[in-house]
Amino acid sequence: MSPWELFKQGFFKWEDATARLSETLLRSPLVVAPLAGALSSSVKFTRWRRETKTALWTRLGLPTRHDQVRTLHQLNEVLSRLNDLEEALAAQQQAQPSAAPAENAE
Amino acid sequence: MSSVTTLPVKKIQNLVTLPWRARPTVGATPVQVIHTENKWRLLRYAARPQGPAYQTPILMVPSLINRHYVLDLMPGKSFVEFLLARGHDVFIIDWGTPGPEDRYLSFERVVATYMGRAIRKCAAFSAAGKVHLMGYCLGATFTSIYAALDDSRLASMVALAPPVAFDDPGMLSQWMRIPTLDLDAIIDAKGNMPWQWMQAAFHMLRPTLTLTKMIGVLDKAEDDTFLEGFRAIETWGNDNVSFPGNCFRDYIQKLYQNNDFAEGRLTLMGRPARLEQITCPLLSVTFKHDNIVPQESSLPLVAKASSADKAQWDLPGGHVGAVIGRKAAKELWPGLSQWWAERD
Repeated sequence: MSPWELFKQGFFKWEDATARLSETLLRSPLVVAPLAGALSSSVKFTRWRRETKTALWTRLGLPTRHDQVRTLHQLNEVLSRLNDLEEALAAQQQAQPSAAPAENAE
Repeated sequence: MSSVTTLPVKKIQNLVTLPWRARPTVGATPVQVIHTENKWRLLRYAARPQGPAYQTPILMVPSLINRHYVLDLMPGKSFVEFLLARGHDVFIIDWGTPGPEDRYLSFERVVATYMGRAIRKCAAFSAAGKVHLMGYCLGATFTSIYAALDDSRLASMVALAPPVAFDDPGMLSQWMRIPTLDLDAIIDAKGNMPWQWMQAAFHMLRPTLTLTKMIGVLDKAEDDTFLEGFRAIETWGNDNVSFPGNCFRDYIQKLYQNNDFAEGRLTLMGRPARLEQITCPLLSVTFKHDNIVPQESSLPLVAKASSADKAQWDLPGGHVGAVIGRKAAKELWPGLSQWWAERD
């Protein structure tokens, strides 16, 4: 067996053992619970900082980023609703193809 | 021969020039944009010169958080290209990249409205008004939920590695149920769930994978075909997409934490989405070495569906390799093409 093949054999054995150890650790509540808690605490701080800045802008009577993204989302919702109505109209027109000939007969 | 002590010139040349190689060509099959709405697009792949041989189009629904071109990876290694050559009419949803405003996008809007519209628009190209719906990973969760709501426009549904039940022993399911993980705080602070965080979580499933890939590259660096394929997959694997905030919150709380879909409690648009309501021909494909979607997560789909024509394939391979690798081109792709042809 070549030195490279020997190395690969050793590497894959190490890799498998390390992956199993890593999985054991990352499944343990003693490890993941504090990590998740730390992550949650850090984002709570980010949220508090953003809300404080937003409140200040609002008190100054200025539109905030929250106002902007919310408005843009509502615009997207309106466009989706328009798509819904266009589909409904097209379906209705397809279901009533005899409307035009009846008008011509009169 | 691939021995480090007697490296051939080609291997050394390829390794040294690797950072300067031209970017791999990914997602190259020509498409026509059928519909756009918010960030998503419905795309139709250009048919083969002699036209489609089958009348029922296939609509592919990839994961919301990975790029659609995994199914059209590169010329010569593309599931889409394979199907087009066989005479299928192939459509796909490109979910696009969410903006900050999409933090308010709901799970219902994505699955019922957006995907529902894609299905109807695709079905309009079919004489029978039906489509073969195919979902991959999170896309398969979406398609399974949609089929459970209303499968009247579905000629069939194929689910590749579908996460349906989340009480499985997988690490992702376990992490999402950690009591100290405050999902609301994460979404309130970040807006959309950052792709970097999700990518880190996937890396943590097997942290040694990066080193394994490096050994693989060292081992086969003299093989230009291998290197191009590897770089194309890595391009896709690192081209991730953030998860719209409210959609992510709904998905985790209702599916991961409460397991509402598998246990029959999920409703969308005020209607129940019950696995038992699926009656269209159904095929679920799972992969034996899939560390992202354990088989236990997928089994309830076929077990509970009421379809008379249903099957479960359990194939060797991992979550991505089994769908786009060399073996897929010889087994999975022809198998799926034949399955769809029989149900045209």
